[in-house]
Parts: sequence; C-alpha cells; structure tokens
Amino acid sequence: MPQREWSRRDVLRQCLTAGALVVPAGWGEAEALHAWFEVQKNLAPTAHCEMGPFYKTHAPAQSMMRTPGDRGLHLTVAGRVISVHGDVIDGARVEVWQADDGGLYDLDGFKYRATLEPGASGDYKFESVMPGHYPARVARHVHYFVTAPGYQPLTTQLYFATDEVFEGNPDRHYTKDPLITSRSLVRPVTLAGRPDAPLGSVEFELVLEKA
Amino acid sequence: MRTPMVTLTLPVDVTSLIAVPRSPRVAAGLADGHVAIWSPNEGATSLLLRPHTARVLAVGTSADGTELVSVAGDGTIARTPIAPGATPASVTVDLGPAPPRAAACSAEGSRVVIGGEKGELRVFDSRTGARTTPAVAHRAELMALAFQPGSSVVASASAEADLSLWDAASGREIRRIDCGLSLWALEFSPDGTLAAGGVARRLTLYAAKAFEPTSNMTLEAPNMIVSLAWSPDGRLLAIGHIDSDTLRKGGVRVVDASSRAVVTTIDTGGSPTFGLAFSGADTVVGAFGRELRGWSVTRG
Repeated sequence: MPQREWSRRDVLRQCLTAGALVVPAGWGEAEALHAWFEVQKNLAPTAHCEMGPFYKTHAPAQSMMRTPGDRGLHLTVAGRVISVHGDVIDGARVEVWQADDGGLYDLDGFKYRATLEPGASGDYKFESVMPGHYPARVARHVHYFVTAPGYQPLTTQLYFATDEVFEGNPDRHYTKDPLITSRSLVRPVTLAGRPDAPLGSVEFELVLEKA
Repeated sequence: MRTPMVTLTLPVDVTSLIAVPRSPRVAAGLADGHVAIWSPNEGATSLLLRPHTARVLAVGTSADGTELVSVAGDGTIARTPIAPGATPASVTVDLGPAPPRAAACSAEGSRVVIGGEKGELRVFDSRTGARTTPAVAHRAELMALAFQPGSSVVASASAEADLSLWDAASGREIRRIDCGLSLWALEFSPDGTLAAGGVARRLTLYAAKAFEPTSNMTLEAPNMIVSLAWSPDGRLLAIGHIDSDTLRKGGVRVVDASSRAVVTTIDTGGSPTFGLAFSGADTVVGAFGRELRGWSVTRG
C-alpha cells in the first residue's frame, strides 16, 4: 500500500517541478500534495450489511466454488480490495458464502463457501453460480467478510441488478429488501459466452476504512 | 405431543422472555415498550407494565423477583416494581454508533449487557447507567448474550460463529470458542452450566467454571436451535427449533439435561419460537409473535 501512494506522490512532485500542475502562489509542495490527496480520498467505504446467521469458519481457499453439473447461471465475481484513498490493501482476507441455485446454504460442508487472499495486487476473483432466493430473504445475494491488518473488518453483501425482485429498476426497488443498506451494493451483470452456455460476470470493489 | 394448556394474546410481538424467579410467572418484553407479566395459571389475563416507549431488547428481575429490569432499543434501562400501576425508574445510556442486536440482564438485575451490529459490547449498571466497556469485542453482529447466575460471567456469541466467556466486572476474557457455525441461543442453568445451540443443530453444554464442553446433542436436519430454557431445578432443558430450509416451520422439545433423553415433544402447530421460559417447575412457555403459549410437562 505505501509503495503505491508514494508512487503517486512522486508523479505529483514531477508535475509540480515540470509545471504540469500549477498551484496558487504561496503554496509549497506540502500544501499541494495535501490538497491533491484530500481530493483523492473521496471513495466511500463499502456499505456494511449484517453478516447473517450462515457464516461458517474455516472455509477452504478456493476460487472455483461451483462443480460440473451445478444448476444456475455460471457467475464470475471479481474486484479489488482497496482503501478509501484508492490504495491497494495488501494482506486482505476475503471470505464469501452464498446459497445455491435453489436458495439453500450448505451447513454440513463448504459448498459455495471460500476464503480468498488477494495478496499484493488486491485483486480477488471467484467462480460460482447465481445464488437462489433464500426463503427468508427478498433478494439474491453473496455474503462477504473482509479483514485486513490495520483496517476495520467489513461485513457486506453483493446484490444483482438483474434480480427479478428489482423489476428491472434497482434504483427504485432496491429497498424491497430491507437488508440492502445501499444502492451501491446492487451491481450490474455482464453476460458473455454462448447463448446456450452463458457466463455472467460482476465487478464488486471492496473499500475498507482504517481501524 | 402436547397441546397448549393456555394462550395469551398480546397487543404486539414478544421480543424477549424470561422466568420470574420464585414465582410461576414469566416476563415478556414487547415490541412497543410494554412488558407483560403472566402465569399460565392466570389464563387470559396479565399485568401489563410500560417501562419503555421503544422495543424491549431484554428483561430481567431482581433476585427476589419483585422488581423488573428491562432495556429498550432507545437506550433506556428501567427498573419497575412488579405491581399494578407501578412507575419505572429509568436511566438512558449510550448504545454506541451501531444498532443494538442483543441484550441480557444479570440474574439479580444489577447489570445489563448490550451488543451491537458491529460486535461492540457495553455493560451498564442498571440503577445508575454507569458504563464499563469490556476488553472483549466481536467483529460481527451479536447473536446471543447471557449472564451466568451468581457471578459476573457473560457468554456472548456473534455471527462470526464465535462464543466468548468473559467477566463483566474485570472485562477479562476467560475463553473464546470457535463454534464453526453461528449460535442463536445461550442459556445458563441455575448452577451455571451453559447451554448453547444454533445453526449447527447441536446443543452443547459447557461446565460452569472452566467452560469446557461436557456433552453434545444433535438435532436431526434440518432443525436448527433458536431458543433454550432451563427448568428452575436445572434438570430439564426446553429447546426451540426451526427448519433451516424454510425458516418457517419449527417446534419445541423438552429433554433431560443429564441424559439428553427427550421428555416430551410439544406440538406448536409447526410454528417456531424464538423465546422460551419455564413457568414454575413443569410448565413451558413459548413466544409466538403476539402470543404466549403454555404447556405442562409431565416428567418421567
């Protein structure tokens, strides 16, 4: 993380030196850098959602959660774990769990449960299926529990703009599920592949706050 | 199978339920701030107290059972004599930035512990509202809280599937246990044995001092444990369960705490109960939305 931040500072210093960045008279380098990074730190932390009752400890390290023959739209979810300043967070741990296509959680094993460690790049990715509707919940969702040294733990949930409960208008209908705490958690789904074997993909960035 | 001997219908949902010591009555906290004091022997009448104007999170009593202690979602802690027309003495405490998710009162009513949506725990003196913050915290929403009778030990369970035993007087953690799956119910017996159950469908008993697990009992799938209550003599344990596939169907069974043998299975009409309490030695009361239902239990 510090490496990336210093790299951007170096670029800014070069810009100041070369005249590519002009600042008001009386500003020194420190003021210019401070002003620049204050503007840059406008990323909102990912909204908190409750963890719910079906978290399970010791989920395996696996990015492929589906197995051949699993029912449901094949789904790839990917993103980065970053700070509110946009810096990659090294050492993060991302735990995900979800219901199967039929809306049931595996309580006896670890189907559709994974622990991911993005490493220095901050990138995470997992392969799954579109979760079904759990009986006590309105919207399809994937649970996240994200931890990283020096950052507040994040419990949140990913939702899908294609979910039929949003009637094609998640801006208007996302509140149908009272547990969706922010519209920003409802993400578009991109379809690729062949019409007879489609693959959905979703991007979901995880923005953490300092502890 | 047992059918309810009596049912009491209340104005709003029951949010918490305990046995009133030294009496056959139970105290039921309600969603609108009322607390109903009721005994199945009294039929369809109850004493309705109004210690709060917000949802009741937890109820307790003084050691002699004459004074109600209650805490509500607006941060009020009230002590109310259990008598018609009684006026509560209240203090308001700071519940912190996250919404409260669970609360419990100590057995003699002097302390209240409240746990929040982000895992924070706060302990308050129920008379003064003075706060002590334990060194213990969880990282996810609190699922269940319970005080051990006759001590300052608290059991707390969060959605991260952890169980912590800690001392509310010192803040010191005694033991933390990885439960694998989340717990929904924690109840101490009169002698301090902890019963814990939840999503894993397993009831575990922990010894009173070291909190080592001493026995397990597993319910058949898909029944998860959502509520527990000990009989006053600590011999029986009522277990409320719910179907994990639907989260709609459920029931209650009463087991012998020593042998885990089923003493009776209660027919709740397929409804789950999130609150259980014994009324005297041989009656089990369950909370079902706005209703309290009582069943007699015949011991073998």
